[in-house]
Amino acid sequence: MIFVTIGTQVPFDRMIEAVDTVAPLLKGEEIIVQSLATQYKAKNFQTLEYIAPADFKNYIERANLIISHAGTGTILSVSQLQKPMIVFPRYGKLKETRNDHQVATCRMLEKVTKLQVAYDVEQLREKIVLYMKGTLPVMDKMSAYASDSLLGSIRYFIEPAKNITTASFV
Amino acid sequence: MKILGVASGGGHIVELLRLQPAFEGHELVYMSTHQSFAASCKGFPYYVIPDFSRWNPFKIPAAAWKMYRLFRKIKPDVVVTTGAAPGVVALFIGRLMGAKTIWVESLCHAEEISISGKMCKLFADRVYTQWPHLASEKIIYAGNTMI
Repeated sequence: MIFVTIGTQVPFDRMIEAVDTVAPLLKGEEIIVQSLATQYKAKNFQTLEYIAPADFKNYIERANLIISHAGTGTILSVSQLQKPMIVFPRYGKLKETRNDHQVATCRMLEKVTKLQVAYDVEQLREKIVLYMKGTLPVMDKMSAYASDSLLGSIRYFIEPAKNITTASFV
Repeated sequence: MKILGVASGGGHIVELLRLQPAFEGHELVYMSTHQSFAASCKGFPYYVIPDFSRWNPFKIPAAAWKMYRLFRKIKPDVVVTTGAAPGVVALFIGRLMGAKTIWVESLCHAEEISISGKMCKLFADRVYTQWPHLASEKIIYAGNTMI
């Protein structure tokens, strides 16, 4: 099963249309799509507007491939499961979100963690072909918490007296 | 000490939750913009505040009033936020009430400090960026929330 999600805040027609365009490449795989109130009418799959958090987790666990907008919550959850994922960032200039923060996050994570990013429908097609061949890289597992140095710095700032040993963190 | 963590929904609350080990040994309370994040903050008191941004500033007065009343009840010693706009208001109220205030700039602001971050630089006790090249005399880089 392929699970497609655009998050819970605003519609993302361009991504649903892109997935619909490449869907024939995913021969035989069931496709479950969470799409909010998207205007675009997909030809290759049915869409669900809303998915409760518990079901969302269930779908991610069952899926062989996740295609998602570049929301950090979804990226972190999937990274923990070490499953194939392709993210499709929202652009600020296309009014898909307020600014280009998803693009900035993607540029950084693809360098540092091998996150698989498709910035347009052609790149999505290329990544789907890799997935069907079984050669789509899986991103690195991200740590469960922030870096120790940041945690130490905050801890020391909150209560300097108790944290003398971490003083080197500033 | 009583620590109040404030963040908007989506990536902001995800980043805030990843700071949790920094608050071990203290009393922790969370505040965010949607009831659905209560599940992510399980085990800690959780308060919902109205969402707003600089694109709908007319919502700020009512939201700020609600936050102020919650702050009076919670009485935090430390207010920490990962943004966005509601976090700026939270730090401002926290500062007025004498709490220590910490702004952690979101990871996605990789090219320049956000408008919210620049505002907080004016009054917050501490401002962090997650990118070394954006650090300055008043903005600290000590690592990041994600990797």
